[in-house]
Amino acid sequence: MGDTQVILRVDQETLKELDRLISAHGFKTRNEWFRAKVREFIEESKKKAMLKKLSNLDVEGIGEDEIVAMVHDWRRKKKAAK
Amino acid sequence: MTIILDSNILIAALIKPGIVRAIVIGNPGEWLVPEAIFEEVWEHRDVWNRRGLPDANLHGILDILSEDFINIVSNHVYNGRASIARHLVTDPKDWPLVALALSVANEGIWTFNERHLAKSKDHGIRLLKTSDVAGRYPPEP
Repeated sequence: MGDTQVILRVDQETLKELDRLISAHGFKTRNEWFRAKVREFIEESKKKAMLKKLSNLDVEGIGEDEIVAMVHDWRRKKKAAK
Repeated sequence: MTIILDSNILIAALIKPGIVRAIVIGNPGEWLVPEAIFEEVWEHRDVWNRRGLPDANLHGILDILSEDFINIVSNHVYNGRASIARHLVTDPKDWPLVALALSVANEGIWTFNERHLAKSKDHGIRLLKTSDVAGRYPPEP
């Protein structure tokens, strides 16, 4: 997929500070920093959204042993049903 | 490198709030699940879906999980190691975990139940506890 140009407007003082920090954090160009931040933002947003969806499945207080037993039981029942 | 998830870890990530979920979601793309294990977990959703979410919602959650966080590995990748794997498991349904571990580069199998996979250690497969994985893949703060 080809790149699309994005134009941002920002005041001179902020841009100067941004450039200083971008360099201090090891990015070679504004473009490199922007790409990294966009990727990070997308990834973090996906994680938050996933955690929110998973919270709808929460079984409070369930233990590891109970989960192991759950799998064991369904396998045992399936085997017995055959 | 990647870690293979046992069915009990996958279910913990789905229904148990806590460290397992935080590690899995916090480190997308690091996890492998054999297709057969993923299908088994789906087949038995009535057992673990204690909150009674409709199938459409569950399907949506598992779709996102498999697209963005875990890699479902097709049967044909590990079927070639099935016969040896079947000799290394206590529970016959666990063979895909061991077959996958014998088929692709990985750091080990993450499980709550090391005993049922103990024989696989003789073939160089590492069995990982949550504490082992948390050391390498810190949960999201």
